[in-house]
Amino acid sequence: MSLITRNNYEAYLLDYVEETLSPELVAELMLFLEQHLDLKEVLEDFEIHTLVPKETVAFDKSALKKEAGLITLVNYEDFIIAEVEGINTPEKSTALYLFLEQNPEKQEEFVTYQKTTLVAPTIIFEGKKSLKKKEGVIVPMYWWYSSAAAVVIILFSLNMFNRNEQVYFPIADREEVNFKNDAFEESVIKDKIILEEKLPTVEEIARSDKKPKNKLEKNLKKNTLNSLPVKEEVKGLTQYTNIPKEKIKIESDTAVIQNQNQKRSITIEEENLYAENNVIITYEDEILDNGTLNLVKRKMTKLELVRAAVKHQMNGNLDKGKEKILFALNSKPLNFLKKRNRKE
Amino acid sequence: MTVTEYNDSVDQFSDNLYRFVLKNIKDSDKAKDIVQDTYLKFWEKKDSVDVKKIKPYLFTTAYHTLIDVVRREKKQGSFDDVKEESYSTKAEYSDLQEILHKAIEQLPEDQKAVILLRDYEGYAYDEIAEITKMTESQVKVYIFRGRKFLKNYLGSVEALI
Repeated sequence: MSLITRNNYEAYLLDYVEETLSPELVAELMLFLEQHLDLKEVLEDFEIHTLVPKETVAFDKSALKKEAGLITLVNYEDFIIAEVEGINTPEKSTALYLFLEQNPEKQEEFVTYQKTTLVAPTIIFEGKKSLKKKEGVIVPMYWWYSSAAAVVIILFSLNMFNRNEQVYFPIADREEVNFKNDAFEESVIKDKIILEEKLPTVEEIARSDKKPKNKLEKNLKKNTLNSLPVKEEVKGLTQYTNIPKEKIKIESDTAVIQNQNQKRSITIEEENLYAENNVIITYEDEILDNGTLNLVKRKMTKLELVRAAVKHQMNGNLDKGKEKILFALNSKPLNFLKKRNRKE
Repeated sequence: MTVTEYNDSVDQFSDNLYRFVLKNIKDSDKAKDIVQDTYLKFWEKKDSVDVKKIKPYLFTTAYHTLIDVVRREKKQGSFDDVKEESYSTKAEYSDLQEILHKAIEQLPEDQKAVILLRDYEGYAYDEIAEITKMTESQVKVYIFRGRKFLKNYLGSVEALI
C-alpha cells in the first residue's frame, strides 16, 4: 500500500520541492501524482511561489561597533556624560577635551551637560521625634485589670462610706457609650511611660500620721478612719475588725464593714485591685507649643487617668487630654463595668 | 543595634530620606508616611541590619515602599491628579536649578529615582543598583538617558530665552 495519500501528500510535496525527499519516495510521489492528475497543479504552484532573494540589504554595522578610546561624532555624548558623571579614565578625559577642541560646536553641549547635575535642596523632616525610641527600662503594666479596678475603687471610695443607698455606677448603666479604645496600641502607651511609683494603700494612708498629699488621699483618710477594719488572724481566715473594736461578720472571702447606719461589702479582690491601682504614672505627653510638638513629663495616678477619661468621654471631646484617655481607655475599664452590669 | 544607634540614624538620614521621597511623589503627607513606614520596618529589622549599611537599607526600603505607593496610586487613577502642593521646603533654587527640578518631574519614575539618588545622595552606580534592585548597566542607561533628557530640556529653555 502506498504511503502517500490524498490526506498527506502536501508534506511529501514540500520535501520534494526542498529536495529532501529520498529517491524511493520521489518515485512513489510521481506515481501518486500520475494516478491523481488533479493534484499535479499543486506541485507546479509550489515551484512558482518559491521566494528567491533578489537583492542583498546592507546594514550599517559601524553604529554598533566600538572603537576603543576613539571619540566620534556618534558617541561623543556618552563621553561627555561620563565626564559629567566623573567616571571617565584620565585617558578618556584627555581624548574628550581634544575632541572638543577639534569640534568647538560641541563645547556648548558639554557646558549644558555640566549643568544637568541637580543640587540637593535642604528639606527638613519635622517628625523626627515621633520616629525616635526611648532608652531605658519600660515598666510593664497590666492595664486591663489595673485600670478597670481603678474605676471600681474610685466609685467605691466616693460612694460606699457615707451613703445608705446601693452603689450606683452611672457609666456602667450607659450601654450606648462607645469607647474607641481599639484605636490605641498598647506599645504606644508603654513607650510613653517613664516611671511607675506605688502609693500607699488605703490602710496605709489611714494609719499614717503624715498629712495627706492630695485630695484623694484626704478623702480616703477621712472616710477610712471611721471604718477601717483591723486584720486579725482567726481560725485560719483573715478577719477584719473596726478600730472601735466593733465585731464584723465574715462571709466566705468577703469582709463586711459595719459603719454606723451603713452596711457595705468589700471583697478582698476589690481591695487588692485598689492596691494595684494606687500608683502614680509618670509619662510623656505631647503638647503643641507654637506649632511645634514638645514632650513634657506629666504625673497622674491611674485613678485620675481613668477619671479624666470618663470626664472627656462624657463631654464628648475625646481629643482633649488625649494622652490621658489613651492611657485609660486602653485598659477598657468601662468594658469591665459593662460586663459587670450585664452579669447583674 | 542599640536604641542610640537607631535614634542617630533618624537624625542622620531622615531628612535625606524625606527629601528623596518627596521629590519623587510631590506629596508631603505621603512622603511623611513613607518615611514613617520605612523607619518602622527598620526598627523591626534593626537587629539584622548591618550598622554600616543603615543608609542603603533605609533608601532601599523607602524606594520600594515608594514604588508600591506610586503603582497603587496609578492603579487607582489618582496619582496624576495629585496636586503639586507647596510643600514645606527651605530650598531656594537658582533659576537653573528651578528649571532642572521642573525638568526632572517629567522623567519616568525609574530615571527620576536613579538621578535623585545619584545627585542628591551621591550614590555610586552599584549602590543605586542595590537600592533599586536594577542591574548596574540598567542604572547607567537610565542615568545616561536622564542626563540627555535634562540637557535637551535645558537646551530648549535656553533657546526660548
